[in-house]
Amino acid sequence: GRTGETLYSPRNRDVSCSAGNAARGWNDPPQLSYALQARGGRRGPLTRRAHAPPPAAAAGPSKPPGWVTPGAARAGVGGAGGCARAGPGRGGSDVCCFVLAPAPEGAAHAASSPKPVGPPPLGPASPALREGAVTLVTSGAAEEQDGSSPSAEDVVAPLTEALGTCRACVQKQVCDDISRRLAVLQDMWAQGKLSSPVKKRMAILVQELQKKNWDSADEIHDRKTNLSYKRY
Amino acid sequence: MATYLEFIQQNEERDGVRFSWNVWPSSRLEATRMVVPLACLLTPLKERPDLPPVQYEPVLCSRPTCKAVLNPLCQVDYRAKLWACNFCFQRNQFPPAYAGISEVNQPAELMPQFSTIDYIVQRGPQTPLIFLYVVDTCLEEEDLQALKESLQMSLSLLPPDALVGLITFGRMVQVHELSCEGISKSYVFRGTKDLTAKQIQDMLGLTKPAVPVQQGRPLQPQEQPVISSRFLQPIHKIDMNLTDLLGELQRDPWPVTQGKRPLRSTGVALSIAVGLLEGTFPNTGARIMLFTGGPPTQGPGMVVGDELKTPIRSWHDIEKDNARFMKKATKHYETLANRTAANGHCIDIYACALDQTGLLEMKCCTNLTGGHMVMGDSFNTSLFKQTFQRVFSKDFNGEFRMAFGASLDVKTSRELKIGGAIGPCISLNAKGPYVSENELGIGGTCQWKICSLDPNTTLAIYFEVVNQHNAPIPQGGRGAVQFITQYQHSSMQKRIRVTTIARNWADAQNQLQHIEAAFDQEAAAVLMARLGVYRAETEEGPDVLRWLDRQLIRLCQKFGQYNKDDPNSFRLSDSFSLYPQFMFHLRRSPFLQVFNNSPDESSYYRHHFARQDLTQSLIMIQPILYSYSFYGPPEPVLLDSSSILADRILLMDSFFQIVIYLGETIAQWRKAGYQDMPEYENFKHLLQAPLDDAQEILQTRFPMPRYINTEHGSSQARFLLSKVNPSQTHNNLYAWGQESGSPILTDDVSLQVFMDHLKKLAVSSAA
Repeated sequence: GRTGETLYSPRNRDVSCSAGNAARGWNDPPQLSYALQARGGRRGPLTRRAHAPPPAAAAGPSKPPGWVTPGAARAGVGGAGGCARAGPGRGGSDVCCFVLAPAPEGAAHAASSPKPVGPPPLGPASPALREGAVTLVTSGAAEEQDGSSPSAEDVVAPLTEALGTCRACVQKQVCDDISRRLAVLQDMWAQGKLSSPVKKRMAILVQELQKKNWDSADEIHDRKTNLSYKRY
Repeated sequence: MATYLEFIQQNEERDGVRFSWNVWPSSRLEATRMVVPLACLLTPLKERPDLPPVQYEPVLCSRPTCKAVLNPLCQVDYRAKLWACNFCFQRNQFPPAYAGISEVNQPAELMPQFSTIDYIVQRGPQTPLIFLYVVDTCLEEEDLQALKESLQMSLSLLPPDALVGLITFGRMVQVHELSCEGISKSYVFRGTKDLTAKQIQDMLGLTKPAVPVQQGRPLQPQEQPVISSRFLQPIHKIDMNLTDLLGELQRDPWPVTQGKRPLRSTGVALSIAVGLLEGTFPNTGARIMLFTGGPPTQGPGMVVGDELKTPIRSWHDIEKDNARFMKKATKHYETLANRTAANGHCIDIYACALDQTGLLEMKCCTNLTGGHMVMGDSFNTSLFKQTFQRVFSKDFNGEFRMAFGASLDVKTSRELKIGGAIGPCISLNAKGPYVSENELGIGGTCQWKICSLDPNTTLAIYFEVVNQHNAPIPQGGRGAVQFITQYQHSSMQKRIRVTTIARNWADAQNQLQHIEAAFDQEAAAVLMARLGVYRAETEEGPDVLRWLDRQLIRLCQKFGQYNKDDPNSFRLSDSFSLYPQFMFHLRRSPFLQVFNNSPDESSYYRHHFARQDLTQSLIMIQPILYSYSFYGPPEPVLLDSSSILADRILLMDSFFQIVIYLGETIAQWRKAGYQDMPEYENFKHLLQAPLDDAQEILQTRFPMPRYINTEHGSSQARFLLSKVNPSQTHNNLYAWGQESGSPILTDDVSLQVFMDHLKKLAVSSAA
């Protein structure tokens, strides 16, 4: 019953994917765009495990065997030794949280007595699934509202400055290459060859860099590269 | 001080090595009492973006039987310009280029952070990569069309100077001449007759031998083996023609009468492909890529007859010795695989069909040569298309994540010997002072050939401590192992990666706690599992399970804390606590159980298990389960039926399958459409989160897994139910009195029962 379902979500709107061919293969995975595949996983794999409590803590009949409460499962992962294999980039700050309002009693009841089922817990709509995305949504909104076009100087100057700072510790060849590309960017901008979304995104990228929001800058940069990838 | 966990992780990241024991028992006797052998998982080409290769040759120890590479563990006399080999203690002069060496001016290979280092070697000719497509045309129209498109797509992903060739087969085998102009020509072979390499080369007009590739001398243009150019051409020259040729491929024209299978000459087609490359480009990186849509049905290597009323062999037939063609076919493919490996080429098999295709008989072709094995239902699935695309994926430098013609050479301290290796390799039969007589896996050698590998390819290497009992702890207190991997990089460069590691020795009689604390239970589980699966390929299933059980009981006896005959007193320390449950899940896994799997499926699962790195292998043994709810962020939960709750969404990754499972209440909410109401946007996000996480996994996994999106009560939920520990079954459901979790209808033993028995046996004084 999965036909037609997609993994499309607002968070990955640049990189679409569609359902696999369920008619020809059982449980065929979704078809990801080439850009998405080439990009690879970014948050790191889900490779942590929960482990059973030590035999001493074996559950009595009142508790289901081996069930660990959410808090305990975490502690177990850290404390059990050898099992914590948190993937890179899946630290605490990167974890999403759905609890924005305390879950009403009904939800807990729903779990124990399936019928009749109450509604899911209400709460202010979660603005984003992950912290990184919050910035994106707001920056995206700003992008659409802000009608004024940023100037080439505002964008290129800080980047050139950043490059200057990097010269001390980065290979000369790399810096020269980047410097050439900045020149190309400036030229294209001056000749009006860049579309307004590209300009705006560059401006936001620079802003984020200046604010030292590295993660969201990286995200914007990635989306930009993916966009240009798709175009060719 | 760093914990052992951090130590293990750092070592894996830097060197691509995980040892079962990170402090080594100093005598043979004590080592055998540790139950789990001293062994490691080695990922020879682990990606190291932070490690630029150096542009010179490694410095070797001058003792002819040693030839270890200069490394950070060597003692250096800077004034005399001498270095002492840390394996054989030979004193060596530095070569002239190292005249300027001093304490403050060291080459990279002496710095501790370069325990793993890549050398780019300039010598030798650079030969282009070769891709030989071997394509089955006995396919349904839709499948053939999809396959043709995938093949055409792949041409655009190849390096422009790569050589390509095309062989198609059905009842006949056609070797296509590729030229830039004129009409397309092909050589046609009967699919029933086995031909020797010589005959194939004669018939294809390859008798004028190719110029032997000599080391140290670049190939002169006039020496280029022109003879091969009819069948293997640079892609940039024939790109358009080959695209057209593929586009014009037709289904096999021979009529297939009702009740018959098409006649498919896979055995001869592969034989010709192997012979073609053998005669033209021996010892050059080459992939033979076989695409097949059904079992070989005629000629050498046939797996089943063409009568549809006779089904292809099952496990039941094999057990009853009723698989008529199996032995002969296996022998045919083994001969081909060994020839291919000897030539340094590899064979990929992309088998897409609903029924079995003969992977059981053909598995040696991929397993001995490091080729890929991909199993799908149809070429017109995203599973096949995306998996095939990923064969040509590139790394952060924009270079292919594939390497060819590797040899792995292992050197050890005198107190250690090499038992063997398990992975996609063959023995190079290099005897030497480091080789043990007791073989574990592919043994009797200290060198192996890996014809094709990628950054994840991982070998298990088993050692033996040979230091005598009561002998003092070896000098220096540390033992060392060096791994030297020579390979052809996808950029055609020859490279050498050298990893040198050392671990402390400890006297097991009075320092057992040090050895115990440094046990890596994850590595140990995978290393034991590889041994088990390796044995399962040759022995009866129950024997392997009994062996694994016995090892587990012995390990618990040795390292558990307990009072004799009191199971309740049994405890395992943190560094061992997870090991029993890994074994529990391994016993249930498709790597050791063949029930409900076809022989092809078993071969497929085992193929992948014998080459993945530790993280992926562990996922295969014990799948990962994440739970999503309104009560907090997604979290890992126990792989247990008690984790299946009504108000949770579960995401299970078992490597070959990704399962998303909606609990009963969640499924009802979704059915009621709450996710579409603005005030319940939170619920919409909850539904989306596991989809996003699944996508993260799908993006990088090779091969693409099956993707199962299901809910409580759906038949597809079985993929989850068959993997979780059945802590609640129909037998004990009421004992718990609660509704939590989901009972599984099974008579399988649960982890709790397994553990109870294990404790009883471990503490028994009768044992």
